[in-house]
Amino acid sequence: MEQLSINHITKRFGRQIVLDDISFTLAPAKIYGLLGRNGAGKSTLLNIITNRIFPTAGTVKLGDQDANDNDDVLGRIFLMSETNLYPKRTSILRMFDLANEAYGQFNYQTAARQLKEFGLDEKQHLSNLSTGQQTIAKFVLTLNVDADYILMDEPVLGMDAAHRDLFYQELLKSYQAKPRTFVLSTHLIEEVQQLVEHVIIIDQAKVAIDDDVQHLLDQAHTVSGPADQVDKYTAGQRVLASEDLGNIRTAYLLDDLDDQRVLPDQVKLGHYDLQHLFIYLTNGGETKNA
Amino acid sequence: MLNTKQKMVASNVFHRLGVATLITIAWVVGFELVVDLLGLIFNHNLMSFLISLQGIPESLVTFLPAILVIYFLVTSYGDFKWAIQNGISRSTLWQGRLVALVLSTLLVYLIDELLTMTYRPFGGWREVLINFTGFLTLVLTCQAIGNGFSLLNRKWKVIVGIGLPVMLVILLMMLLSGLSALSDSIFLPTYQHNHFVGPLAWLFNITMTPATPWIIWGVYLVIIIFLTKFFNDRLQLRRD
Repeated sequence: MEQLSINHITKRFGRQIVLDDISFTLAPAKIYGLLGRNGAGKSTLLNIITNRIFPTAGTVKLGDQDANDNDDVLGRIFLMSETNLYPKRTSILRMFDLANEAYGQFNYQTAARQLKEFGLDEKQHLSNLSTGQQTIAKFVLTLNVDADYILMDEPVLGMDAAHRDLFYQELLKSYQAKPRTFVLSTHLIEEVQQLVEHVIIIDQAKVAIDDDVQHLLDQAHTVSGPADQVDKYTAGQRVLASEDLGNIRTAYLLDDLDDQRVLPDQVKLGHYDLQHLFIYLTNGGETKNA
Repeated sequence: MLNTKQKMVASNVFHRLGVATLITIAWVVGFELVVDLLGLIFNHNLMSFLISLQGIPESLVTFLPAILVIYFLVTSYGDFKWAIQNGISRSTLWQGRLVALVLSTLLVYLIDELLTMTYRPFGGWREVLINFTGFLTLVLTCQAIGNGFSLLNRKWKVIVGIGLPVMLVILLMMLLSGLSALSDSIFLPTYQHNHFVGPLAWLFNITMTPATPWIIWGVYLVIIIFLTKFFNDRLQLRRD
């Protein structure tokens, strides 16, 4: 299976630059997290990848084929978006039929089981459902479409906790049954942390992080202790943020620790999670300790 | 031959158009029946009722082409949305819609002709051909306008929707006043013995040949089809 490459994508809306020279590659059969703060340009990027909107510059390619106006490429990518693009009074079954006609081999059997588990009926019209139910209907559709690249924009929007739990279970089941690339664009980082293998963080219109989650978490250290000793220990390293409580300082590092450096007795090491990494990274408080 | 996605686009157009047509027929027939029945109740004249029923085909002849024209005027963005959601490219969408447009125009025209024959004699094949090409051109023109308007957000739709007709009227008025000024000068040819003589006569004599209307129609059709494609290829999700 070919890689989906996003090459130097720039998007401007008037004078505002939403995406600035974005490049990364999506590998086959991998689960990605696409993260960014509100208005970071995640949805715009997903819309560009699926040729729903045009970039100001740059290309999207599957292997060596350009995605623009290309049925073969577009027929291998599916985007579950927040906005409903179906005509009014489209039933869930009609959505399935359209996906079956366009992508082929839609898994009706699994879709029926999933709808039942989520408490929906395939005869229901999408426009008559609540926000959470619409998300569920689109999610069931998305999981059963025969596409190699599945992009999900806010896939748990409006879902309650129980349905979100079911969502993650079904997503994993689907991935195990048929490994393909998933890109989850969400704000619920804590919930997807266990699920995603690779994360792309967009900040200030650029790719801030494009790395495996495990590698990132291995680099995400907390160093706490007396302020002067913490500063001395973290000197020259990438510190995303620091917090002071009296004389005790906690520094949040995103760097490999220097094995040669002696850890003072009063300084303790720990780890922090992906959500905090995202917060510290996108808060703009990053420093390189002198 | 059409590929799967082109067929999908065409069949969806037929499906939505069919639903719109059935709703219209139900309304037209229902409304006329109610009015005629009320007439029967008040007048107790069965013959008058039966004669007024014959007006239903005449109403349908007016409404069926209108549905087709309106459909292609307003649905291009809606069709683009579901098509791109299902991985259908803009080119395929355009091809599928064009095929659906030609076939549905032909079908509606045939039904219209048959309905017309219930109250008017057949006008001959030449009239049929001219009427059909005229109808096809109208539907294509509306598709081009619809595709063009799909590129605009609500604000610009209002601006262009008002501004464009105003601009056309002003241009037409300027053209008419220009022609009127020319007719008073020596630049316009004069018409003598079935042809024009004088300056620019060749230009005016072209209009005398029987092929000229067809050539003009052909050129107009090419421009309109080009515009449908040009606007279609620039369709994208709007933010409004």
